[in-house]
Amino acid sequence: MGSPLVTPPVVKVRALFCPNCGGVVQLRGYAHTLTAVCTNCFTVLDTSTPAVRVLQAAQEQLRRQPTIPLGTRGKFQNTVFEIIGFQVCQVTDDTTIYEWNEYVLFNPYKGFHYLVEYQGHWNFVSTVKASPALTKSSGKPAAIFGGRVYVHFQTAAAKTVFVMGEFPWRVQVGETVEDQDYIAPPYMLSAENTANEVVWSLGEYHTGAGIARAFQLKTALPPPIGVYEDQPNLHRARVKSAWTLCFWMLMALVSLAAVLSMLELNRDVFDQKYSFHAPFTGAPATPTDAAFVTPVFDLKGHTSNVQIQLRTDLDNNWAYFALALINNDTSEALDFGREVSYYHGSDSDGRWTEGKPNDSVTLPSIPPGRYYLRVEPEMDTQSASTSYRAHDVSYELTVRRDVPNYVWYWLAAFLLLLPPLAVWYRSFTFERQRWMDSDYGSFSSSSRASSSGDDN
Amino acid sequence: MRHPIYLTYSLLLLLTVATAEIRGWGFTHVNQLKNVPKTVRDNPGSYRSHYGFYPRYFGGK
Repeated sequence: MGSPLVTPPVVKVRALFCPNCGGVVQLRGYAHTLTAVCTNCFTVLDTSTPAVRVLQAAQEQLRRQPTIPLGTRGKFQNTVFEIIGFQVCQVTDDTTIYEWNEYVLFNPYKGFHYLVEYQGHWNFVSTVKASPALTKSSGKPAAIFGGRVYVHFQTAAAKTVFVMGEFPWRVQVGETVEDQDYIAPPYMLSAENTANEVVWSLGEYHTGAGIARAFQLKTALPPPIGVYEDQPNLHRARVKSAWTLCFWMLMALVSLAAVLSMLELNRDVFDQKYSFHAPFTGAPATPTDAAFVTPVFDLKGHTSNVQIQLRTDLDNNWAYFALALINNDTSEALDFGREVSYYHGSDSDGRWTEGKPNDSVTLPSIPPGRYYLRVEPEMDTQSASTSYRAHDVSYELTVRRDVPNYVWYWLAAFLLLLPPLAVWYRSFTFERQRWMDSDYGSFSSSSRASSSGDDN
Repeated sequence: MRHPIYLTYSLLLLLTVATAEIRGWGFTHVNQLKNVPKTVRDNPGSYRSHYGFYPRYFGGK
């Protein structure tokens, strides 16, 4: 249950006349308002005493228009707040100027809170009374507050460049404070250091859509640009769950491989030894020289693969086998060829080998039936070598039915890894983009570690 | 369930792998011929292999 809704009472707005332009300056913050800025001429007025005093003369500045007008009411944490003030602050970093908007929110019972907006990113900010304990985390300065560790993000001199409405402090254009930000997304702890005091405040990240809902705005707020310092990384929680699911799916894949390997026949259905002699002719081999067919063998079971294995005694030689697996009943043939070569020796680089004396090929999706092989070996017949080994090969021909094909499992494992890798990469680039804007510039492993606060 | 699409994708992948393994799918390229004459058994040399008689050289280093 949330706390009861606290709605500001209907009050008569106190008004005064601007000593500079005579325009009406409304005061909604009761006696809490210390400074009011004329919305006509932007003269800063001291309203803390009945005799209104000019704190700062009319500002010669470019007028800024708040995205949410002054006087708009919105509901945060079950409390209705009214926007009574607006200021624009800026930080200059070498050549780049960063500007953000701050809205002063007021509720007579809850006091002042703030909305900070930077490029479509919003924070609902409340001042905190207790000072956080300063420490170190992953080599960076950190602050502990409310049991949460906030890692230092940046320190910058923030300058007020535009003000309008009411403020609970003596605001002036040109005022500069040192601002330190510590983050534990979606929270941000900020310290504003002036010569006299340090004011700590706690911000919570909100989306523009959430702010538009809170203020019941008729038009959508500008979409966010980039990654803000305390923007929660929604990909981070998905990374762990994606890897968990990936682990279980890989386990399922291993189990599937084990079960199917047990169910597969993986059995020799034909095995025979042969030899081949290719005498020197000085001309290429003719087509019909050495062709022969094997006895018929049965391929049982369901449609599955067939592996043809060739084990030869080739030694610094080559042989080619033109093969055809022919269905004895349907007269359909699968025609293929295998090159087998094995060379070895030694030279100035040491020992070397090339090729292998054995070879195998797996024929896909062979229906059951009675088959035979047509085999046509071929060797070098043009070489005039007198070595016996130059023209001879002994080989063993084996036909194996329903053999495991582990390529599928490796391919599936690779494809299973892609989605969690993509989720991890999105999370990684999100954090990298976040820390690029920090004092620590480039993204590092310590940055990753220190940004784990959004898991809290 | 955080990843319904990934879960569906994974299960479909496992199903595909099981089907591929049981049906013996593969990547080996073979030339399929129909109506091979019955005389091949009596005269193997009469068969014209699609892969035979290309000039080739297998040499060592």
